[in-house]
Amino acid sequence: MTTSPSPVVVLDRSLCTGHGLCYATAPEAFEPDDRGYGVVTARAAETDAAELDAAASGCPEQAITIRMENPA
Amino acid sequence: MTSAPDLSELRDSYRRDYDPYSTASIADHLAELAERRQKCPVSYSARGNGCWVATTYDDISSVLRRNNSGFVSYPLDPDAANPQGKKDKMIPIELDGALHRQYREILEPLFSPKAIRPLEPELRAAANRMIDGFIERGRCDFVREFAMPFPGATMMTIMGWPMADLEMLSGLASAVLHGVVAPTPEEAMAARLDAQVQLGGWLHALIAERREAPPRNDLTSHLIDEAQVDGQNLDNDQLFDLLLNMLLAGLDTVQSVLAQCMVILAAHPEKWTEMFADPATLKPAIQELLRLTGPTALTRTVDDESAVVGEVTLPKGERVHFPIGAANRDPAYYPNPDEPVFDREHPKPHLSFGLGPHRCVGSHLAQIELQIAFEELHRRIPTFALDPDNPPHDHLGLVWGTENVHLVFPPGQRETAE
Repeated sequence: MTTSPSPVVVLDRSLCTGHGLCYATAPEAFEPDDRGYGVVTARAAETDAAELDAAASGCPEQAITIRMENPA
Repeated sequence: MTSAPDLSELRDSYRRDYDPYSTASIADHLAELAERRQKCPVSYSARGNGCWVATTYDDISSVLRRNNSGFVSYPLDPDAANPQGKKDKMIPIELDGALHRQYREILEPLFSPKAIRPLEPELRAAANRMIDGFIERGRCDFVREFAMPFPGATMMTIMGWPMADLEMLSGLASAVLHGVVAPTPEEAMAARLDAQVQLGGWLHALIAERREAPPRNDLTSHLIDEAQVDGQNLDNDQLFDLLLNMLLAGLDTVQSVLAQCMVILAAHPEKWTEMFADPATLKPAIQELLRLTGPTALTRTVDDESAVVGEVTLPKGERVHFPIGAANRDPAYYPNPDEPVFDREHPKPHLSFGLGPHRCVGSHLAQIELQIAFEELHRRIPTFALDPDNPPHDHLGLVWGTENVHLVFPPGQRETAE
């Protein structure tokens, strides 16, 4: 069993305005809702770290944060 | 403790006049903005009715993010004039807060990626029909034969408006947005007002006609029959405003980006190949081209007691104007800002679709339009150049653009019958 930290992806819905860059950049970790706003998927934690970083740094509204957490 | 300096003193100490309607080329205007960014990143311009001018990525993005919390988006015009001759705030672009949110909730599902995706085959077919119109000739008047009609036809289809009216509407929209070349300023103003009246007349007639007709599966019927604000269906004035702004925004911006892109790609022919080197290359390349060609200039107004922009504390009521191109070319985030570089590493997101509550609602549509346009143009016109005898010319204003883009290329075959 692994105890390495895994990423926790948080998308602040109060900041998101639906640019749609997160789900274009990291389609495994984000998907669009009916208005085109980003939603974090259940598979986000397994997504490649570089892809998550690109999505977070590429969010024009700075609405995405990623922190590493040890599994409880 | 120091007392707040007198407003006119503050303006004087940062004074450097700026003309958003200069007749300079886009490149020369960007060079002026680069110099301002370095020497006076936030300045006061007394031209017209006066406004502050922001030029850095950080200042511009920060003002846009503070929409609804320190800044309002009314008026959109740097002179606080209304180019459509209206007294009320334009829907939805000059509205803020809860009322604005209601309009966004109407529009966003209609322009979401899910709503846009089914249009793709029709867009691709339309692009090829337009290319068929000039491919055998080995030359084209790119704006008139592609950059204008391609997004224009898309808009007409989504709205459910008669395609035969496209060229007329586009001409009127262009006159309203960037004015008309005329021998005197008075004649130019008169021609612009005349275009406003004609466009208004057309749209009022369309609304009246569609209210009487049975509902259809298009955006106009949706807005007439289903959309509600404050629990009420939209009245004629609300519909007029909403449709007019969508028409102007949908026609003019993608046209400008496409035209500017072809001029950039003609100057960098290797980039036209590089864009398609690998399926993964195209999307970042389009983002980089959007960075270089974002055509709009916006204005926000301080709505709190004061707001800080750069090193300046502006009191309530002061307007801040900024071309998005100034943010997108800030060397702090984009080394060699004027060069198309498709593999920039983790680039700052460009601001061509704006930021904050007023982010372009058509951004998903615009990006699919650009992708299809480039894919089909590249497939059929793998090399091209600008006609050296007939060079393009630019206009500035609140939506920058390039006209008279004449391309020459090895002729190709039609793909559909005439």
